[in-house]
Amino acid sequence: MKKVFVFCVGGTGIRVMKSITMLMAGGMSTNGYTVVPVILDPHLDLEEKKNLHSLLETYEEIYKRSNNNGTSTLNPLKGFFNSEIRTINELNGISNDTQQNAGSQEKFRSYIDVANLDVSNINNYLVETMFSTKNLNNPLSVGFKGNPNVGTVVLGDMIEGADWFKSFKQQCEKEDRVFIISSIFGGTGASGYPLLEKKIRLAQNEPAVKNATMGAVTVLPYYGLKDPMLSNSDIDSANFYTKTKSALAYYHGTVKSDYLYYVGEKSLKQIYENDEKKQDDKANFIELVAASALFDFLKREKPDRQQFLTRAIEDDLESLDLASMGTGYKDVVKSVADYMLLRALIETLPHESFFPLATNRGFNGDFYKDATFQSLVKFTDIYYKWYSELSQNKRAFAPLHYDNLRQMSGWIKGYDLDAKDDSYYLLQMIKASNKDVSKEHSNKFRFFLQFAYEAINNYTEKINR
Amino acid sequence: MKNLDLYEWIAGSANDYTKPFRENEVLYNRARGFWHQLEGDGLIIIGIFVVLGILFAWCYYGPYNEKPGRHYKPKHWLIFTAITFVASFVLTLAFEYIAVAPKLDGALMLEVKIALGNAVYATLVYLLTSVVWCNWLPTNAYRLLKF
Repeated sequence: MKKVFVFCVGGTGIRVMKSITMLMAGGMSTNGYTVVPVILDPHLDLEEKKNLHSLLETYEEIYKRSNNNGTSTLNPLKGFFNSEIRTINELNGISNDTQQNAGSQEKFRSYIDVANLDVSNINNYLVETMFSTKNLNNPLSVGFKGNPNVGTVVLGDMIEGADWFKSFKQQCEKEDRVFIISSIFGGTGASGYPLLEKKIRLAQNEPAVKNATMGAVTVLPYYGLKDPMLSNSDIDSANFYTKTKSALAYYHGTVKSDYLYYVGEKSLKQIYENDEKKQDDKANFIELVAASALFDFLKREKPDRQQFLTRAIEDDLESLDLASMGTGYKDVVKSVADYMLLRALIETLPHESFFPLATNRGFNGDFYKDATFQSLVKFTDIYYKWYSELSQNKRAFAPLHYDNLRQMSGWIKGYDLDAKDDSYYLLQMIKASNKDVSKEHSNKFRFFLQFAYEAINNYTEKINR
Repeated sequence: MKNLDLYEWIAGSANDYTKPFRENEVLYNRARGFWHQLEGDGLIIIGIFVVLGILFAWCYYGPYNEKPGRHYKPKHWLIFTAITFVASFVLTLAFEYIAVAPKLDGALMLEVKIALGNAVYATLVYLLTSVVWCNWLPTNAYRLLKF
């Protein structure tokens, strides 16, 4: 089992991992790699972090149920949920969540032991020069509030002493890869990426870790925050570009990832509420682009020298479809279009009386009420909200017309699909079922995902041509 | 057994038909001749209901359910049942009218009754074929009549 350890550093790391999960659900392949997400964010109570954990658990549940025949494990499906996600705890056979230990209620002042410095000690002046009083009084449990100077000090220890880092070093084998997701304009991500990379490259006793092919995506400023005076916040997005420039200057010649992807916006297009506790930011196109970097990375061989990559869009528009994004985004659009079509089927089929597969394959009332199908429904609800946010954010990722199931030929903007309404997909599901005469398994849920994908792909594969 | 005995339940027998003409030998002979001609085409009439019954069932379970539009629903199967009934009736009547022109009193009514009988038989054949299809043959339709 080849693995890719995906380190999600800070809030942006969490949101990009969410996009990765959604793209995987929609059928994007990790090229045989099992994704092992490691969330590195000191926020103890961050809702986004809890939501991501819950989303990953639901994905895993769906994946396992679609690949298990009761007694044996089946080959991964083609299409939806084709790639595996496993937490680092599962690799170690631990059921509790070690990620919860990443943060601490301790104040930064106490962490660096300022109290033990003599008032006249020269180090006291150094501390006062480098850290503001607010910096020193902040508890570590709320993250580094856009202060990489704090993150740099704390994260080093936090990584080295963490159970997940020990587990990672134990579990990382030859052929495994490492991918780090971070933003460069905040506190946790900007400081976390180079530190984490350094810790990995210095793992002298673990050659598989030290020599792992490593990729990273660094997200440049893409959103702004409301005036910090209004919400009494410590984060001022007016500093994002300055911080970015400083961090880039530091990264230059310091970070050594084999592939380093830079993703960002031309300006801070969307302004969010400046609430560092909630960070309830809507899904953004830039996060989706950053997520696509992982899939690109997993297709590439280890390079002879460090590679720097980025992605462009065809037209600088506020609302993007496939034509304005460019043909390079076909796989992303297909994945999203396919999953949104799956959503349409999930909503329709439980109410579809006399659907032949209700008797032929057992897709009946009990099947739709079963916990496994309900997991799929739960995941799909989150997916729908995620896509809705993407399609309404600035800039908007809106390549679909998805509201009218009676007029579906324009489902993907700019393409005329042969399927004019949902009955085309239902019919293709029946045909896929009739064609499948194998007796390899009797997993209804797997059949459902398999036939739905074959039906959908029958019409949407044309966008890849 | 003669072919038109199949329709005795609805159209009556040769005797029933020729009885009113017994007073007039010419008409009686014409009536008998008319019946015999219909009897002579009996196999074709039977062929019509057999072929149409199977044909419409095949159409429903085959090509029609290869097309989108939720054709698997029983509503569509019932529509095909009605089509089978009407088509058999119309085709049988048209055939009878062309093959043996109804010039005598009651001849047209006899042909209508036989056509109606044929429509019922075609529907039964459609039903039987549907049972066979639902149980043993491949289809995209809902297997409503599966045991």
